Amino acid sequence: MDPPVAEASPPQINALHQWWALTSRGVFGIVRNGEIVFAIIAPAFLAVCFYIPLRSMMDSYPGMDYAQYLMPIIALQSVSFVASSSAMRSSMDGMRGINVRFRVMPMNGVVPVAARGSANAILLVISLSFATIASLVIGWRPHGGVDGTVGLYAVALSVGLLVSVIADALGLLASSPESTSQLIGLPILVLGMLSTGFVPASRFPDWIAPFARNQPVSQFSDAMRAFNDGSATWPVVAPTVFWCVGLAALAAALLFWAERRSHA
Amino acid sequence: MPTADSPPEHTVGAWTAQTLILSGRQLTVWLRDYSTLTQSLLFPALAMVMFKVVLGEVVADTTGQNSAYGTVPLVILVGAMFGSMAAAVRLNRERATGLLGRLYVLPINRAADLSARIIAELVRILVATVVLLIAGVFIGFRFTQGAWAAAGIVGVALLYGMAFSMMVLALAVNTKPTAPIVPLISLGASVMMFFNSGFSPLEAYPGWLQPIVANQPMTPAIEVMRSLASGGPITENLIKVIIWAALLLAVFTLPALRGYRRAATDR
Repeated sequence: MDPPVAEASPPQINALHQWWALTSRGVFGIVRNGEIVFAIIAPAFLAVCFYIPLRSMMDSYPGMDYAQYLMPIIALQSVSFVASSSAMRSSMDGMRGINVRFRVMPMNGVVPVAARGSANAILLVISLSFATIASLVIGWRPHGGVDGTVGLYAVALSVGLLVSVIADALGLLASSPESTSQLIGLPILVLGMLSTGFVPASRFPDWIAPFARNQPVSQFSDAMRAFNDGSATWPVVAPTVFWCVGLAALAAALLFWAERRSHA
Repeated sequence: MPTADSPPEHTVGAWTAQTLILSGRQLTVWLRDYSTLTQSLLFPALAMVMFKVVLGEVVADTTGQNSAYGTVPLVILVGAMFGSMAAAVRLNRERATGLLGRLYVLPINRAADLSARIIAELVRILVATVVLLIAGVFIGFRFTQGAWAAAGIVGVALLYGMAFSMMVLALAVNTKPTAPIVPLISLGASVMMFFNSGFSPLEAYPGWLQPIVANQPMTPAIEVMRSLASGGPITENLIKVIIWAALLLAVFTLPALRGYRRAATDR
């Protein structure tokens, strides 16, 4: 006689449900560990700490309105916050072994990656909203019309998504959350400070001005500024587009590498 | 068998001898913790260069003076403040592992470990200040007032650092180990870092904010150091520095001693 077979129906596997469950896990994690607070106060902190002390000096230069000038770097700082948060989360996941657990479950390998990406996208939108509020409070106004404003936020969102995917992959590849935060933190700090986000390239010492003018964060802020005052032209925006293509290639390569290594 | 020739724990002799031994211990821990060591020496130097590169010309256009005379003192003080938070973290870790309790049941002067922590802070600030002053020469900082004035710069940094460390230690031993005092003090110190006369000239701040910027503890210390390096009036700001330091030490020394006893005996 055959042994009795359990009559349970086979589990319903729906990739969309899995993606949604893991996305909400990511978002709840951000809210529960208090990181969401930084998404709110970090842009306000940056706006207050640079605008108030430097405004009168910067506005004394002809043609400078420092609130207008500062907005892109406040938005890009949200991008950097989302990037470091994303690296920390993927690194913690790696350390706790939950990625290994996911691999032995009946789940497509793309689902966890997509879910982390969506959680980061949600955090990015929240963070950019608060960056916008902080900028509006210090006196920034969109002057680029609908097209310009769409362009401005398109740059911030594309850069933010690409950088957060790269940070996510770096978090998977790094050995520990501590080394991840150093790996991500220092380049972000140096590229952010030594950019045309705070001060125009002409105010930098001659030896470093070419770097400050051409490095990606400067190109992004210049493009966003051009969109915001309606003067965007292809030569101003092109470097940003090329950087984004490059970032996308880097993101794909790093994700592929991280995925390969996780099977080793 | 251990000999009993060490002085009784309540005497000044015991306090001096044991403070020295425990200070050596603190400094050994500091030297062996490479990431903290890097943070207390390399990060301030990096911040100094970045302030100079990014804001140097803007500040010089406004004041007519090389911005290094504000940036170098600013970074010295910021380094002293953030370094003392590392000391608070270490204190809480040693409290959790039971080291404070262990020292407490030994015949060691009650104040020796706390004074050793302050002395270790002073040595750290001394080393960091000398390193930053030397690095400052490369971005245009000059000692135009002679050797005694240069020593005075170090003295101001030590006085400021001692008062701030006492406050941080007092807060660390009087709160639960899980309390977020480090993030909160960091936030306060970060705000102070942008609202003083070393980051941006005093007259660049909005009028209503200038009295606060001028009298917060960092600004008088920065102005004394600036004058000691490049010449200028000292007395008024030096009095403000001394008042701030005396105030912090008066308010926090006793709570630090009391809280330390509680931290050492609460488990």
